[in-house]
Amino acid sequence: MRKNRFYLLFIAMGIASIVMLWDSSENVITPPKAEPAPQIPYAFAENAATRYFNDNGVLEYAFTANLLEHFRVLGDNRQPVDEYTMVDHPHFTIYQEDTPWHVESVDGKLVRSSEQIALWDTVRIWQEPPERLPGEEAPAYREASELTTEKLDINPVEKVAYTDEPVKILTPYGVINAVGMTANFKNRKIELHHKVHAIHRIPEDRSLNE
Amino acid sequence: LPDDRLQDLSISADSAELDDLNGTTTYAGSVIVEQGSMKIRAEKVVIYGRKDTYSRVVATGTPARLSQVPKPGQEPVTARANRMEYQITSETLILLDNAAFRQEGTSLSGNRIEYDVKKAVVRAGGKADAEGDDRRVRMVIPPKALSKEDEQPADNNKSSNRP
Repeated sequence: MRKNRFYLLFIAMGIASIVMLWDSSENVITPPKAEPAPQIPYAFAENAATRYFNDNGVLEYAFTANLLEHFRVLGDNRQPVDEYTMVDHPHFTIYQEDTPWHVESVDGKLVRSSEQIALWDTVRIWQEPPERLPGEEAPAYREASELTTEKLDINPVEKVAYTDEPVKILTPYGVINAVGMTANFKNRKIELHHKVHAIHRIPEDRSLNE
Repeated sequence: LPDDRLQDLSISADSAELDDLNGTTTYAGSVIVEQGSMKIRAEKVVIYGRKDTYSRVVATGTPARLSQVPKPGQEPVTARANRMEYQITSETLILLDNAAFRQEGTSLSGNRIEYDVKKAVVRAGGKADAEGDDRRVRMVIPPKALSKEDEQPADNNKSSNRP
């Protein structure tokens, strides 16, 4: 019985730490005494996982990370003016109608005030191919698309991602290289800003039709 | 060339927009499209189709320009128009508005020119609702091309009389 109680306590603490880090609507955490220099995180979570539901209760995005380190930025009067979280190996799953998009990188930073997420170091966005219905023929090749860059800023609520770095988009039908990109997951448009070079592969079986 | 349409399509441009919902990819700014010997230069190019089913390429410019070698060893065919539509399936190139087409010295201009890439056959017409010169098609056949056609009948007579 004692083991169960300990186990429940541990889960409650885990959830509480996630809520503390993420719940930006009210200030759950009563600010402790003046903190030392902000470079020391005042809260952290290992193997963090969270999900964001919209007002209709529909899952909009899910987020996991190896390590979250939470920092506070103090103003001149030593009061907190902003908060940010450094993230190790963040992974986002942004849910669309049929196939979710995945976004991951080695490093990331979440800024509470602007709700912006900055990702850098091997940033990868990809979309799994739609699930095959039972009995449906497997496509000749995986139809996943993938985008890679070195830096990316994401607004998860607006579902927009932006970079001014080189990007590479790989699909089974070709490859596009460019510099600078804005990807809008809501209207499923990707704008490539400069130096675009694309190769559209014409399929072997030449099944070109309307 | 006959196997141009089997080659990959290579495109360079200043910017691009991939629209997954409408199934279009729009390239803008100094656009160059190459597929085998076919080369298009335009201000904007829209590719219709997604995944592996491209149906057509629309190039616009002032004007947009195209060149393509019909057969090995032949002079490139050149075309220009403010709007070019290349129907990939039927291999038909439609030139609209300020259109001009040139093949082995013969040039053709008008408001609408259709070129069957596979058969290397061209058809021209004016704009139905155009007035005056806009309705007319102009064709220029250089003397050299003309004289070659004049000699042709004489040769045939000689060969047919041979025992």
